[in-house]
Amino acid sequence: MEDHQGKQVVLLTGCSGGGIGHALARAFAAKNCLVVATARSLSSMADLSNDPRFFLQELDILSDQSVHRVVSSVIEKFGRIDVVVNNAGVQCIGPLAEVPLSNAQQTFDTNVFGTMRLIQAVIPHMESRKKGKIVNVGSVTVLGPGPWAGVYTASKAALHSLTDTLRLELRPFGIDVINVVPGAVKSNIGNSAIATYIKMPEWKLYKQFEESIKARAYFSQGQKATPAEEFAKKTVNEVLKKNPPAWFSAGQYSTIMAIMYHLPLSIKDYILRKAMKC
Amino acid sequence: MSEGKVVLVTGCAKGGIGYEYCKAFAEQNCRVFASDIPTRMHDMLELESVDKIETLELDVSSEDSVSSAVNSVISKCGRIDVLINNAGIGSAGPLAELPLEVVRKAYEVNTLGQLRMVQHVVPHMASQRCGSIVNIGSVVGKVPTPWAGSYCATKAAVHAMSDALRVELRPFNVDVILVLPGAVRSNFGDTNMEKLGNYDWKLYKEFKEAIAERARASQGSKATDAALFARHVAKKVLSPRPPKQVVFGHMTGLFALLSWSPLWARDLFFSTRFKLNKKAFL
Repeated sequence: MEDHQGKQVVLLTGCSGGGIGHALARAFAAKNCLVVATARSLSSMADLSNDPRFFLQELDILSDQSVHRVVSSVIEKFGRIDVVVNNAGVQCIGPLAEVPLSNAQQTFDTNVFGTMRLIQAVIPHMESRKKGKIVNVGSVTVLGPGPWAGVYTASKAALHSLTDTLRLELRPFGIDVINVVPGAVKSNIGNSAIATYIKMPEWKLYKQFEESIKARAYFSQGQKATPAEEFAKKTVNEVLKKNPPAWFSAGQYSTIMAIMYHLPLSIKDYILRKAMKC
Repeated sequence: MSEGKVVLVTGCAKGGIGYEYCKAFAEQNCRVFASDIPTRMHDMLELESVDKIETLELDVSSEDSVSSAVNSVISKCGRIDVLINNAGIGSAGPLAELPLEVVRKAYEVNTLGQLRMVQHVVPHMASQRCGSIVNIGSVVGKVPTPWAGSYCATKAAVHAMSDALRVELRPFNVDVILVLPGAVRSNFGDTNMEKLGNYDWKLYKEFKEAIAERARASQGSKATDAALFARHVAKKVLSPRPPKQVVFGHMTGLFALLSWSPLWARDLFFSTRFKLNKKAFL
């Protein structure tokens, strides 16, 4: 085991270049943390490979084996894991009445069960030290679920719910659980959403909505979307606090959505219908 | 106006709320199709003797089963007016230790099962240009509790889906109604307790009693009578302009208050209620 006194060991998922995870990894490194950046393939993190501040690992959160391999190798190398950031996630665009159930399943597999798999793998270790932080990346869409991204929003709603329960259940072990809730932040989410979308069968009932459905993929990627670096810097500041908040939200639309949460359903529906052209 | 409306209800075995939905809709002169999984068919025998109720096999986690059940309703009645997405299972236990397969199973029935039903029913309702989809959520879908995180998450997902669906189905004149039951008396607590008996928690050994307490929490002496609850829902669903949400039953006031409270207040409430306000064996 190497000597890394005083530095926080941070394990992040979904760190491919261009995404929020990549920006978070760099922001943690800038704060003098030991960063374990992971993604499904090492090549997607190639630009970090020559930087000694990063320990890069291939990680597929869908696989028990992969998760256990990475967690053990981090503990072997650094002796501990202080912070886990569950950032890996996929978008799923399509009307609920027609979106292929296999796509819904894949979305939940990654966003919900993949996240839970890693959490379950690190808890025994954090519990033994009576210390640790688990950061789950949710979404502001949960505060006002709109059309064309029902599966994605449902998966994030499930994750928010799990985060709330985990925060209570892990408190006796000294483990903090933080829900990080991004608004519209520049990332790969639009492009990867479209890559999945174009493989779906043609809509039957929703043919005439094709354009607005497709536009939903890029809704969070407009001109005014918050740069990932800016979002990451703020998030890291909050996470590294001695007493981190239970909830941290930032990025374009985060204030609007916080207000949306408290609006009557009829007004919510009206706004979302106009915004998403449904 | 509800004369002859065709209603399909999932999860109708005796002891649950689904059973009471069937009777409540039949009382309103609807033609009711009561359904459940093959091994529970005998728990619906008494429903069959009720005028206007027929039973059929339907497993919401099976594509084939859902498709054949919906087709059989269509071939008998030519239409389907109301879907009651009621089938659901409990899932109690601390998230750190509950096996992932158990978490997934709850999601497959409670969340994906509802979506599967919706996908099979919507084409018929869209072509009729009318219909009502009633998704059963829960007050804990809005405000999650400890020791039942897996169940709460499936219902949170149901709430989000219902919100999106309500907007998406509006162009087809199909109503989506989300029901948030509070504490309603059913066999839910017993079933939860039975399942809990199978686990031997490691990290949470000393919380065993608190976990059991949560599994029973909705079944206290003040829990709302299921028949009364079902009648209330049926009346709302069949009204000329159905509401977007029906929130009813014991403890709904408490949960409404919690949903508007800041997180620290919610956490304080639950950690006191379910014995999480101490440091574990330090």
